[in-house]
Amino acid sequence: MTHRRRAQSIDRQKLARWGASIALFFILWEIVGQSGLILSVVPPTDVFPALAELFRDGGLMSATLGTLWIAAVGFLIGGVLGVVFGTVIGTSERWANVWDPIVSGAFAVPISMFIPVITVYLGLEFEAKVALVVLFNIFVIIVNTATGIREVPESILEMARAFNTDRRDVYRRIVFPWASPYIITGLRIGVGRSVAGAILADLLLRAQNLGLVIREAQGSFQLAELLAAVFFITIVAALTMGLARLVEWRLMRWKTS
Amino acid sequence: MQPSKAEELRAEADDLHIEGERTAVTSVGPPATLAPIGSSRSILDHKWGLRLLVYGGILLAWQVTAMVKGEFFLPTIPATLAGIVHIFSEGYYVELLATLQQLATGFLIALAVAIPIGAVMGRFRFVEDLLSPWVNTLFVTSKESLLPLLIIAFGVAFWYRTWVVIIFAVFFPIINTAAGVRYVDRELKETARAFATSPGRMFTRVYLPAAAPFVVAGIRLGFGMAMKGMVIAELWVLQGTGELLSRFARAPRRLDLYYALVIIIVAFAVMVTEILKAVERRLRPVSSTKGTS
Repeated sequence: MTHRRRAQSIDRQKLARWGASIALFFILWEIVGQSGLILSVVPPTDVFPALAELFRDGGLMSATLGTLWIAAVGFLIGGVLGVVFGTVIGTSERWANVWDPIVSGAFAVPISMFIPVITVYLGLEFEAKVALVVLFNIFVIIVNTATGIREVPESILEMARAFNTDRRDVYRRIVFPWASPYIITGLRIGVGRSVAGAILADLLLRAQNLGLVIREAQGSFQLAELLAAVFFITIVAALTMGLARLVEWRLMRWKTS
Repeated sequence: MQPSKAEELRAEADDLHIEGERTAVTSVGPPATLAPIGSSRSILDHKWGLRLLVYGGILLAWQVTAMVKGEFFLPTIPATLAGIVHIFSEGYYVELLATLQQLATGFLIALAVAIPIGAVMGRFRFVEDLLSPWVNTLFVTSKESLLPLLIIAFGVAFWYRTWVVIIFAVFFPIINTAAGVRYVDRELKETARAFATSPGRMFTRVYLPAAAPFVVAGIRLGFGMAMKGMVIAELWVLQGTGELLSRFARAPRRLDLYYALVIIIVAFAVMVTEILKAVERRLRPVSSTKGTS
């Protein structure tokens, strides 16, 4: 009881500081914007009307859904392939040995350098965009899945073997539940990477959806609109990540209780 | 005690070690044990046996595809290797050097900003609460959408690309340094206090060495982000190395040079990453290697 109350008051303090920090940011933004010190900063009192305008006739909602759709398709493909591939690597030392250098190399490398060659093979449209999203999300999912599966303790597997449990049950009842926190964390990070990949795809391949909104605002030097779009995209990405975190937390609740 | 806080720390730790630590550890992880026991030993059990087979197979498939489909689809391996020489002999490397210089400038500025901020965030709860909404939001969201703003503010020359690198690279070192300082062993701190160590010495002698492996991991991950930012920045405004990548893939298509450039970039990225990983391993005290999770 007392613990709970203390935790709550600490959270309240933290929330107050967050609120203060956010308020301070907007006040500073307004001051800098009004003063015109930095050319490209327009005050929020101009940006938010522009945002409302974008909503009304800029089709911001459908643009958002378009970009998120690309992210979702890419996430689904990357998620399935990543978990399957990660399971193979996590299970077999031989295959881990072969693929680990490639997977960890892929982490270090800027994936976006493949954008020009994706256009050569897949064009500028939906397939190319989905392919970019998959390249963005798949490696973190592979690595997390493999790590999770390696964490399954040998003793438990030996016990399962002693009881002559069949292979499918070993995976379904032991390996995947044990590895699930890692796999789900990997998928959660994959959601963020998918959204980032989809936004990049809509910006640098055929400009569409949210990418087009930004491109148009940039092209016509509509600073208020541009800032509104940037602000909105940041919020969308943050909300998507928050949602993914929430789902992760719901799925993992059985483990902590 | 405080479920929400513990939860948050754990989640944060997950993020860190999944995106960072774990990738370094995967190749030396505990032996996987799901493989059927008693399989006969063969050449494939040797570390390089299966590797040579698979990598050889991939290269062979590449070469055959290239020969069947022609150089406009995929350059042959010899052509690509010759391309690496061409990049240097035909003067394209000048662009690479320009990119590298800006990358280094931006990255060093990012570190100079990030490590102090991260240290203060890790040390003072108050500062962390104030900054964490921004750091966390910008860390996970797409920084790509900020590029047009930077273009309007700085044009498309030196400072634009430098700023992109800073914005991409700054968050991992901040978050990792903060995590490192926060996790400094409580006893270590208490012991140092007991010896009446001054706050200044506490920082340089206790916090920094204990947090060093985290910081270097942050630097390594930040460097990866810096390269990512650089490539996106240059692809966007078609300058430097990004312009080369894009040019080689358009008509008149020179995929041999494109793949040569990709190989150079990959080699550079992997080299820097491996060096930083080695530094990280040296800094990591044996006793604190992860045993539990």
